Amino acid sequence: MLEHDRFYQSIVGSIFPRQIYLLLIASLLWDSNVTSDEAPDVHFTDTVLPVLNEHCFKCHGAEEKIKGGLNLTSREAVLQGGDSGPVVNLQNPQESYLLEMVSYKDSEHEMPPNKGKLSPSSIKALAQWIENGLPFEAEAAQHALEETQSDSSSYDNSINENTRNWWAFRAIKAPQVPDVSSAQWNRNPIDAFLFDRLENNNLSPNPPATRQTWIRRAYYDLIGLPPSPEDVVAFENDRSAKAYEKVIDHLLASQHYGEKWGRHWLDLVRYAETNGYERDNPKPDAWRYRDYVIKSFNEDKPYDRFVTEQIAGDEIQDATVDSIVATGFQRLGIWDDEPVDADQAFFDGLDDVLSTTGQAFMGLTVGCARCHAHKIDPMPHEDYYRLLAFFSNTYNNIRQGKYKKSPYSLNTTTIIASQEEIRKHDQLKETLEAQIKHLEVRIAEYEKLIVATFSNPEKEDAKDKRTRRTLIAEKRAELLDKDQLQDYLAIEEELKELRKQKLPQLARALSMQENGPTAPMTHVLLRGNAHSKGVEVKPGFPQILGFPDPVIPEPVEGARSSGRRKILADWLTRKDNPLTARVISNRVWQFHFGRGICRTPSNFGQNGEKPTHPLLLDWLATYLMDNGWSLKKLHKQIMLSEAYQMSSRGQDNALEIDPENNLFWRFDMRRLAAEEIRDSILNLTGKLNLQMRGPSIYTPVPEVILATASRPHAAWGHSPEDQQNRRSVYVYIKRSLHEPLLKTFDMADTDSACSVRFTTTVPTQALTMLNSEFLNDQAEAFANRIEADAKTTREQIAQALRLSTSREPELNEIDQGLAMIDELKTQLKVTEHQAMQRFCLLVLNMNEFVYLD
Amino acid sequence: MKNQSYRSNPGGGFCRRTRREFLHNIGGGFTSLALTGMLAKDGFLSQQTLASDGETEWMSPMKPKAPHFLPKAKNVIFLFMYGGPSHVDTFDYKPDLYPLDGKTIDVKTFGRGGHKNQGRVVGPKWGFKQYGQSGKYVSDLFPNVGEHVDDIAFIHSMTAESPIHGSAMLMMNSGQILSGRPSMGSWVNYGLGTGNQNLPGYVVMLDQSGGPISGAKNWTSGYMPASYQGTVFRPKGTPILDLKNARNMSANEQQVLLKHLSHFNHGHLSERVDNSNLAARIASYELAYKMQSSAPEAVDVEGEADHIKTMYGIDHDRTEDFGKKCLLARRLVERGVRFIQIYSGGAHNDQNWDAHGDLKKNHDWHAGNTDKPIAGLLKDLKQRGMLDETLVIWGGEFGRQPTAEYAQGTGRDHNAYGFTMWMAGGGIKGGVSVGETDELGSQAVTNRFQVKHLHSTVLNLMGMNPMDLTYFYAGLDQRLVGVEGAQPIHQIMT
Repeated sequence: MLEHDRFYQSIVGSIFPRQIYLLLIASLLWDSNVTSDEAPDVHFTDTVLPVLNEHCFKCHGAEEKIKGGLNLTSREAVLQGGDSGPVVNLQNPQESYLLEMVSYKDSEHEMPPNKGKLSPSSIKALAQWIENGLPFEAEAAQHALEETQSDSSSYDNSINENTRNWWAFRAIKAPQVPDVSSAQWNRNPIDAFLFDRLENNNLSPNPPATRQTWIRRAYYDLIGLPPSPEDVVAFENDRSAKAYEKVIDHLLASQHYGEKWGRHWLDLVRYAETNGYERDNPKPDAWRYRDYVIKSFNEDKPYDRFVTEQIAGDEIQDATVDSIVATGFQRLGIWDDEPVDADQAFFDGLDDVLSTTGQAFMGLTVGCARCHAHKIDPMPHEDYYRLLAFFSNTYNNIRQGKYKKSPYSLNTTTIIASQEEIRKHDQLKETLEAQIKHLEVRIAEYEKLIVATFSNPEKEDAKDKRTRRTLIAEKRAELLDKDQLQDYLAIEEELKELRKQKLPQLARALSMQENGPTAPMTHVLLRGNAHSKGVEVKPGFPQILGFPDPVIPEPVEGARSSGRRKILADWLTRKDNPLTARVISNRVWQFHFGRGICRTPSNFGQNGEKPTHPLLLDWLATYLMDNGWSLKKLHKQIMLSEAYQMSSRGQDNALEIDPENNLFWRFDMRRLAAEEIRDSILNLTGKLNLQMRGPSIYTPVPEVILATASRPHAAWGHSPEDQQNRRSVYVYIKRSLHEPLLKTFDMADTDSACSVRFTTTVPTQALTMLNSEFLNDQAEAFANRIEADAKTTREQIAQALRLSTSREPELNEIDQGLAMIDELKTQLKVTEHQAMQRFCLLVLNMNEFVYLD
Repeated sequence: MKNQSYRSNPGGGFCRRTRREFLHNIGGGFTSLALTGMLAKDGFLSQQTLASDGETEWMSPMKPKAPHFLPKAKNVIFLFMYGGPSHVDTFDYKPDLYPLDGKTIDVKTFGRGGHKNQGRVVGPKWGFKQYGQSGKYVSDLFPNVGEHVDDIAFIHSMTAESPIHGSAMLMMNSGQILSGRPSMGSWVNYGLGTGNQNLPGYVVMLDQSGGPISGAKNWTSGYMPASYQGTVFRPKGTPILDLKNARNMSANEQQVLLKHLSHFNHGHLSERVDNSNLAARIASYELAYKMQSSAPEAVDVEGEADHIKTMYGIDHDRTEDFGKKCLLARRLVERGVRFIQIYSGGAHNDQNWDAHGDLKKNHDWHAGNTDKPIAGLLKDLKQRGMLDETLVIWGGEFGRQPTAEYAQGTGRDHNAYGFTMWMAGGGIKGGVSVGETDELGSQAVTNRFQVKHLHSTVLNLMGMNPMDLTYFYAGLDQRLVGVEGAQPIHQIMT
């Protein structure tokens, strides 16, 4: 039954209702060589063909290569049999070889292989078929075959005029800005593009939100923290023409901007500080990459440079410490230090980098072409390996088999300390070594005295160092005088201390290095299998984009790398690359408006969503490139728009016509991200520690969470309290143990690139917000703060609401709070302070606290 | 697959997230065609037009959903023998192996110690006896489970892609050796939702000694929303994290707080009625409130009759812990929890079934802790008529080699070339065995099955077509059973 339905669908896709399809099949059969007075064989088409098509044709008919010489796509071919002779016995159907195979007679006779035995009903169908004398409907079989081969999808994955013209593959051209009827919406091209579409659909944009709403929106969008009540008042009172611009400039100049936007980037590059798998060991100093990202955003590093540094920061001529740290991008992935198959694991490592590069920078699901041609996008199988060839000379930490001798280990890092620091470090080292040497000489003199008294057997024993030490220890008291002994012991003690001393480690970076100037050959791997090499390929770009193959320079003797990644970076950052600028502009828009213009920000391919406003997207991409790839300028242009000022309220008419807000008639509300929720809570209570940079910190994690680890007591670290209260972007990210509060509120999964976070709403979040130690402690701290801020209960309640919502509370809201406090005090005999703590907990749980208008 | 009630539903039809959530959270993105198709099929588009009014009920991602076809099992209890129990010492009887004890023979193995072509045989350390009508041989490690062989189907020809704990655990739980994929319980909840909204749909109970290696990765929802991840349940104290207030807020105080919170939230909502997420969040507090009473009630086994507790071995020190978890599993199934996983063994080395050193000591310990409870669970489920709809799975991430790992001792290294798992209950034929390992138990030779066949069987018994249970991510329709898919193990299905 089931194979059945699938078969129907595979033939006609989902375009035709079943009835039409049956007619279609019937007419096909009519034209076939079945004689007109003979009804088509229903048993064959309904029950046998689906089995053949699903389980057998792939190896026995569909592909050019026929396995075992057996072709099952016509009656004659079936009767002819395969390499091992006939497969059906029409005289004694039960003895057919085919039936032996499908019944899995023994381990030598198992067809289909790998996928498991056919269902009893399928086997029965085949037996019945042979019993019936092998009726065959060639046309239907042919049709089924063709449909299977074209993968039953409506996607054209070949490279042709049509697919070259896919919106994301076309060259970016500055579009003409429409001239719209509203003067207000004609000033900023962004508004003109949006208004034009709205007007054509008889919709009008929402009126501006209040200034309070806008400033809260702008603060959270740019720095991930709310404005203080004073910030809000100042803005509300600023009637100058530049009031909005001033706020934007202020926020873009804030160091916290990098912390907020850096986090978006860290999601995309699967940032984590451990390797995953059994040991889940730390990646050395991975946090430097996080700091690099934050710093790059804060410096408004041109995006093309930002891309280049991460792909080829070690190969560029003007490499810097930052650009070396940037290449850590390629080392952030999961890594199995005990792989089952070292060769396969080697390519899994490269795939992690290539797939992430494809999604993050190019908006293409390149990884889909690893095992076969991309099923949906025009990306042939070899394109994957052409791209892979850019990375083929990078080591990736496999330490087994032929990779054992690799000069690199998991902990390979690049020293990034300055010359001065290295000099100082060397000096310290020399001094320490000299001190040790000096003491060793002195102690050796004493020991010489002692050893001289050894008997011959003792001398023999003393060849073993440990025995020697024991012997000396036994004898020194009698052989040395009191002063000597004292001196000896003092030296020994001092030596022990000196040897324990660890020099401060030189700054190092998790980074990319290559295995010398010559890259190994890259082959297409058949079915993605590391052990099935196909043709050799050279580095190249996706063919659909039509760029000539790059010229790969000859290896330079003595060079540290092949220079291949530099070529990839140069191509990615060309202004005529149709993907790079579109992809990043779309992401910038996404994190202002809640969704990308293309809703699938890491998949611009044919299986992604088409952009709702392609011209606007091209305008943004052009603007970005024309302004030196400055993301800050793009932010400002977007945030100065009327669109960014719109209120989030519903309009009856618009809700009916465009409930999904495809046309941006309003600003979409959004829930705060996990980090914003935690940071906002700490901010409210005044406990937030805004210290930037450095190794990650550990928040206190409940025992229950630690108990999930195989080494509960070694699973998580401890930081001093003030460090625990740092911003969430500095919380340690361990692949097997996520910080529970952040995890609860949908932090990005760390094992692969995440371009859009989920926003789940589940009861366990409410439990955390009501009952967890963190929330209750913070509610207490919040209560203490407002009790210090204001005298009367009424004022305290007002203050709590003001701080949490960035607005003046309404009278009825204050009354509501008072009623709660009163109820707790009078009916449940709770103290005033405790009642206030409960009220503060309520405030942290309000929808208004975690949702932005 | 006799599925009369099969509902034509290619490409899933499982994505019943709220439209807003759906549109805002498409990680990899849905095609517009698939999107429309899927939503239309769900009746979602028409429903959502109503939802814009703010009156239509918010749909929890965990609401029960119709399966593809009539399921044979509604709930799963997966007894995970972490570390890899030795099949030749438990359920895969190898009489020829005893006399070879101590002899060095040619045999291909692959374990923690790498590939080997030779090894010193360790004869099975326990005797085997026949049990039940089926006469199934079971080792003396499991005398109590032995009594239930007529309800059990044994798969003796399991194979896995990795003989290394880290990747093999991921394989058994998520179908892939690479990290980042959703676990089976997540898939099942994604596909079917769960029967009780006041309890998590996917519960994991860990060993007293700690979690398995990779911890939460074993019950992660991977690239799916966190709503589908497993929730760790503790048999003692507060069962779920944050179920009880950290500052001892009384139930009355909490009620007052929630009442006033609701006022604030409804005031906020009144001007934003079209945002169903706000209403959803209000609803989630009501659910959380109920969960606070449902979950402790579910774990409170005090009310169970003494003879039931005895049946699970709760009256003995050795079996108390695992027995309580098994009893809890039954109670959770009764209350509608869809998928429950209980770990026997945790942490490292001999804390679990990973018998590299002293096989006798290790397996005596872990089998002794679990035999009675598992038998009790099967018996109790059966006497309550629940076994018909509950699928019980037993097994580890792999088996163990017939040969010794070291020059001395009885320890066996890992073996992914062949091992045994068993299933009982909903849709499973009792008293059957499928597949064989060779006479040494070194590798599966007939009817070899991979982990994906096991997964396919579970999904199938739960009424889902494994090929149609898809989740679009990273440009692909992802499946628990992989791109190529896998047939269920028909031989053990009714």
